[in-house]
Amino acid sequence: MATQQQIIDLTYATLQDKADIVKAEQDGVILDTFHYGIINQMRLNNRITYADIKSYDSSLSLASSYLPEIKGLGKMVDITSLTAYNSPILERFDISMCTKLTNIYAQNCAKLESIGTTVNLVNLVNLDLSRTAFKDSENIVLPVTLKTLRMSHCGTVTSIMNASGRNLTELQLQNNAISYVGNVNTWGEMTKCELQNNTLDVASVDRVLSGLRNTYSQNQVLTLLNLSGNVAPTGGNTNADYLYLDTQGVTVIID
Amino acid sequence: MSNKKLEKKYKLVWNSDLEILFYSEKEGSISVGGNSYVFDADTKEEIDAKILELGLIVIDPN
Repeated sequence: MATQQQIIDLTYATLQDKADIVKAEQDGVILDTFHYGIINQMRLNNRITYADIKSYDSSLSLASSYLPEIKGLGKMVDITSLTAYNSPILERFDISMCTKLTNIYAQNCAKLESIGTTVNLVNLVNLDLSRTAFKDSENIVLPVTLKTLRMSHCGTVTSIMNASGRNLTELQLQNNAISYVGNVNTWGEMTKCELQNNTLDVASVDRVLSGLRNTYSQNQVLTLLNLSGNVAPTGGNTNADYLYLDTQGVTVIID
Repeated sequence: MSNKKLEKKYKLVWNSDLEILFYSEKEGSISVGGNSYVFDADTKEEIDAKILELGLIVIDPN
């Protein structure tokens, strides 16, 4: 394997397809940091340099690929969007250094368990990890910029680090193992909130209902709140917050 | 107020744009409030027939 120094200012004239890149890797010319799928997507063709890679500031689209791992994202710090959905053997990638990312679409990746940490992704707007094997939720710290979070049907997601969700418009966390939800009073822009089929306790169910009642009273943008498959709120379908949202025409589903 | 109780196994909720908001095959009852439409049934065939009858739309696979 070549060193990072060898990758800098590298010129590889025929680096255009998988065979060329594999050959280059075998020659020790390119770090095996980068998968050929990434190199192809970048379309840099006859010149691959560390600077080229680092400054690649476009969308990286690797949807429906057969990569087990997307390697090298730590050196592609300027990418703005990563698409990797429908990739059946993808197990991990690490976006921790990609602070310009606005979108991560990695849904329907049955083996995906980890994506690094989002703590420094201060521009992130859309994150979709639904229907994956995601287990690393302690590293999913939601930036305040986030508008849509989809992590449904992951099964083992137990919590979400939600310091402030004031720009969240859509939350899909159904079919997981989430037992606690907090900071609901910051969800002022929420239009669709799906938390069904988790393990929320009655305090969390009550908190979501009362929090979204409060925000609804201010801007009336909520259209759907689904809490079924947890426990019933205090008072069941006579709960005052549930009845308030009901009379406002908001579709609210509870046990 | 339109608080509705669904008690059959198969449950369907949709809005005025015919978009399916929720479908469930879990036993147990749920309450649905707001301006939505609901249908529950003992068999999935009845649910499928209702979807076809009304032309309901699946808006999100998640």
